[in-house]
Amino acid sequence: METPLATAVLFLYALCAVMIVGLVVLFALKIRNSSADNKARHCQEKYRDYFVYLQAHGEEEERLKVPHGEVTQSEKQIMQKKLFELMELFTGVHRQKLIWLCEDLGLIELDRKRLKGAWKWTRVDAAYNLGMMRSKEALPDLLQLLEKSSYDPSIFIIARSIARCARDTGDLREMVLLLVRYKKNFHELIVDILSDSQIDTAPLFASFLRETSTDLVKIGLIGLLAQSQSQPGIESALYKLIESEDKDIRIKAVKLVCQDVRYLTEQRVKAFMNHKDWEIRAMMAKAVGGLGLAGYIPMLKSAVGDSSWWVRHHSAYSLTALEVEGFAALCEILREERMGNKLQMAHEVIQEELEKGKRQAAATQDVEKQLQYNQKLHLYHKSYRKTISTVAALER
Amino acid sequence: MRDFLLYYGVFAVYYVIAINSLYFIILMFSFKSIMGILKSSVYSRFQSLSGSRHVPPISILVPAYNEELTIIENVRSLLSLNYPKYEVIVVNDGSKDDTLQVLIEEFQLTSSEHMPMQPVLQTSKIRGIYHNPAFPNLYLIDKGNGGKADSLNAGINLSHYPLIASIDADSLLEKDALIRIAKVYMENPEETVAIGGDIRIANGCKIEDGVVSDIRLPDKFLPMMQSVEYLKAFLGGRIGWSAINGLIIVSGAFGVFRKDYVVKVGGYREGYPGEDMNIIIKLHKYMLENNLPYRVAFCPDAVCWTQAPDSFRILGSQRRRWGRGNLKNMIEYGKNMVLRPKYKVFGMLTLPFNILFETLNPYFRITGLLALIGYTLLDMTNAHVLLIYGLLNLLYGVLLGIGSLLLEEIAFRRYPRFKDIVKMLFYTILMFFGYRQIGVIWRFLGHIEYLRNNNSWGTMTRKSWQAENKNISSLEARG
Repeated sequence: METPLATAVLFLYALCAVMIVGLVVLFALKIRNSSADNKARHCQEKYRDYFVYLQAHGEEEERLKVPHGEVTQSEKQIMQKKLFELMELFTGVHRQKLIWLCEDLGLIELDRKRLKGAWKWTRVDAAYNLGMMRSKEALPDLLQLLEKSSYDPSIFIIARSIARCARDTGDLREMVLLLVRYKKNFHELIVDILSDSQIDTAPLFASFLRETSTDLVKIGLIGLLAQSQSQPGIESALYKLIESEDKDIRIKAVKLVCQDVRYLTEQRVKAFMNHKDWEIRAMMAKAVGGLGLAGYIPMLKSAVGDSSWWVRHHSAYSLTALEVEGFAALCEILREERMGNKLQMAHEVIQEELEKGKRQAAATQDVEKQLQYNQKLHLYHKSYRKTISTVAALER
Repeated sequence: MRDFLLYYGVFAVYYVIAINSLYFIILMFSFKSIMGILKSSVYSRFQSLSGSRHVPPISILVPAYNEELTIIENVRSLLSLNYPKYEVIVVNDGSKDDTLQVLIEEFQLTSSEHMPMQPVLQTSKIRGIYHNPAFPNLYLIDKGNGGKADSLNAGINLSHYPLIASIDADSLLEKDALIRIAKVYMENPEETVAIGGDIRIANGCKIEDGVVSDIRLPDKFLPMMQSVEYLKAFLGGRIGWSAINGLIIVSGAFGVFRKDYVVKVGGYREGYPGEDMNIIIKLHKYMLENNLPYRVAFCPDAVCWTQAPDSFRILGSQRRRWGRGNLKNMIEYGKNMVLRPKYKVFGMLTLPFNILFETLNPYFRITGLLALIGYTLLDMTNAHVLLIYGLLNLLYGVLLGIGSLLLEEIAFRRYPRFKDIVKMLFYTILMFFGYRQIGVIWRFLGHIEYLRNNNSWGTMTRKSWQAENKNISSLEARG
């Protein structure tokens, strides 16, 4: 028992030492944090009038003045946080004037120095600050920092700063190339980061469609899907991508095509509705209803019997989106089918549509809506399934 | 007999050192990750991200069984999250109280008997689905009693989005909890199969409109103990385990999962206490057996506030259930995966750790106590030896507690007052004088229940959040 006991005693001493260190650090940290909070409060109080001045003079032509008297380094850093809050609130000239003020206070210079600091997290802090201050001069250093970084959450902080500081699409492109080398497929996040840039990113996304890298192609497609207007000159690249070997690319390309009715020729709609990927069939089915393409009702009606639940689901809902004509097609399914998935889906969606219609008709004075509901109910009555109890329930 | 006891004593000392040292190593991994978590939390633009169309839509599943007291506040809190696109699916699991009625009345829900459901997982019979177009992202499923796992499976069948979040009906999510967890997912969407959130104890906090408006430590003994316990487990433990991809559990109170993989592993398992551990084990197993790159992540800044049991009866019931769940998981999965290199960190480290130091812990503790009695009866020990052994156990445990408090102070600072730290420190020490020992007994009793084939949920009595607030107000009035 002697040896384990001696080990235990030795361990006890070691534990006590580590515990004391832990306690000292814990209380020191607590005191430091409380003191920093107090200092920040004091500084905010001291410069309260100055911050009112900054908000009130944002639209005027002249440059914002730095505060009177000597401002200490720690006060500058506290002020920087407040200035960042204001920058988030304002855009245009007001924000630009706040950025110039940061420059006049020497904050950009300070963070550019910190960007080359020895500690990783000091560099990340500085990168964030420089991004907030849209420092174009810091861009080469930021790109270099990203290049040297290994994969962890800090790369997204640096990347966002690069997007904010970018001078042209070339900078953004370089940033994207540095990010995709991690091979983690965070394409959506990259597009979100790019949306922080003041530069028009649509041409960059369009150029990505012609790349051989699947990562860049996917980023391009996601980026274009988020644009409100379609980008000219991408048609040929887009049509090629529909045939891509990468399923994700195929799906995204078709989704982009489905956003614009001009791309949807009859031949293409037919091809998509019969595509081997159920995702593409489902997307097309959904788009037909969303774009109000009543001419494709027979195609949708047939797709209600698809092998994929999602295709059946979207086809049936698209039919309900195509007013009474589409609803009539759903009712026809009730007449034509005796059993199976097609009948079940049509039945479920009809019931839901009638319930919804009944509620809307009761809640509104809109005669057209009431008329539409009556028409749908009549169509349903005419179908062979009128014995289904729901009719009676709806009529009650 | 004396020899046996002697060798057992030696073993017990090394066991205590080993268990605490492993916890300490995991704590060090937590420290290694904490700066990244802190900076990411401070510098990520959650406000703008919560309006981004690039954030993945999420279906929030809320299984509810006899939750009439807390469910309204919970759903209200969920409906006001800062998140661009999500739906809330409450699943009433055949409650015997008025859970269904209070929800229908509060949100004016009407039955939509024919709402299409994708039956990807088998569940007990669905009685009805309720919806109100005025709350387009709220659905209520009413079904026969089938357990929590069955309810989650029913929620999955109705869900429309690729990510699912499971949330307990007695819990409140912070407004940006979901967006914080989504950001972790977005940083590695291909490999992330599950992400756990941080669970904190809401007893003592002020709740307004389903939101924790004033964070306070609990006043009562048991919730306060659990507060310290949760802090240690989540910050000290789970951050570290997730750093080496060895996380064995994502708390049922709040976790986000890739729906496709949950379906691939057969969904949640029916009649299974510890279904939260079970789903994670199955996900590890599936991904490793199919050689798919993956991670089970933990997001400590995504906070979910939960009501902690404040009576020994209810806490005991909860802990016995945890004991049952752990044992069942280890018997059905752990034994087939442990120490098999193909299961990598999970099989070579997490499972041996869990089996030795969690599942078998009550046996070592109880036999340790019996050995101590034996030493005393056979005059093999003295007060000096017992004191050293006891101190070793205590100080190592306290050290781990201090480590967790340090992590809290570095990255989160949710309890800003100085006296909170002192109070938590005090309870960290107090925990070793009775509370931990009772916990060991509850776990042991849980194992006995498992052997008796008891798979029930046990007793979980809830208090309404208003009642909790009244307690706080009266305490404030008393000064």
